[in-house]
Amino acid sequence: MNKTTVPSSFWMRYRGLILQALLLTALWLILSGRLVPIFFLWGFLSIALVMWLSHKLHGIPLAENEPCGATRINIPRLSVYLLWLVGEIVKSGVYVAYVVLHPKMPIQPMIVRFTSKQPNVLARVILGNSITLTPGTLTLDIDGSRFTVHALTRYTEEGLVSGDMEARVARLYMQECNAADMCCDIELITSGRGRRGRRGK
Amino acid sequence: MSFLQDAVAVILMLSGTFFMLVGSIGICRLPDFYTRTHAASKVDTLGILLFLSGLAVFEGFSQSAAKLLLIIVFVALTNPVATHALARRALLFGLKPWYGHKDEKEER
Repeated sequence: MNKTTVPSSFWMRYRGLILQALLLTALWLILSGRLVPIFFLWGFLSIALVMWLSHKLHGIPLAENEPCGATRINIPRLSVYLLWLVGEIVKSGVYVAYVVLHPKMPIQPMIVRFTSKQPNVLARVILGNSITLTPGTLTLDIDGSRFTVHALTRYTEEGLVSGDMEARVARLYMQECNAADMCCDIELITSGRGRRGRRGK
Repeated sequence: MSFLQDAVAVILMLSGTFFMLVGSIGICRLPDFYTRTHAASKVDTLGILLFLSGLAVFEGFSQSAAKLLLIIVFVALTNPVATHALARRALLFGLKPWYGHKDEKEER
């Protein structure tokens, strides 16, 4: 999966730098809010400093043997994904609020372990964060491509294992993928460790 | 127009406070650390997002609203990371999750 796409045009090659400069400029304008030349000068200097520092950071790999930024993220898909994620945040909050306010509190906590075939490290980070934001699931640990997730109810665990979100994240980097293939080696822990621990005392 | 703007702002802020209240109730009601983390992270994130967007609507189209939008983005980015850091540390430390009432009845 570590295939480096050959940059075809000027835009594809310097896309990261251009977008970073635009975002930093927007941030500076929002935070300073003044249109005086001396402020533009300081803004230009700060943006240059930040971009130089982050360029230095870019060479440090996020994980062993996996340089980041080898494959380019698909920006139109990223914006669609972010909109979908906002919807998920709202659903998640409403769902957990419903569970909390329900008189009987219908929870059935469990730990799910699964392996997700994500194309690179950044996709795994995005997936881990998205799992935490979606209804009733919480990323506990990511070890390689092995995810450990705490699910609040049986229903949320089914949604997680179906691989829908994994496929959405993987499509940010790859052209096509199948939701059914994304999630494998699923292991449910619904009891046992906790009980044994208590007996041991 | 101004009335409509105020109404939307008030509704957003009220629902935000509602969700933050529910998050606190959840922290008290739920049985163990991991399930409490669910309440603390998700419901509170939604509450803060709604409250801040209510404030942004109240401000209208201005620089303060843009700053509030920045805060919203950063809260939405950092909250899951902080939650994950807490929960991961608890898991690695060896804190046992709670698996439901059935197990306790069997034990007795």
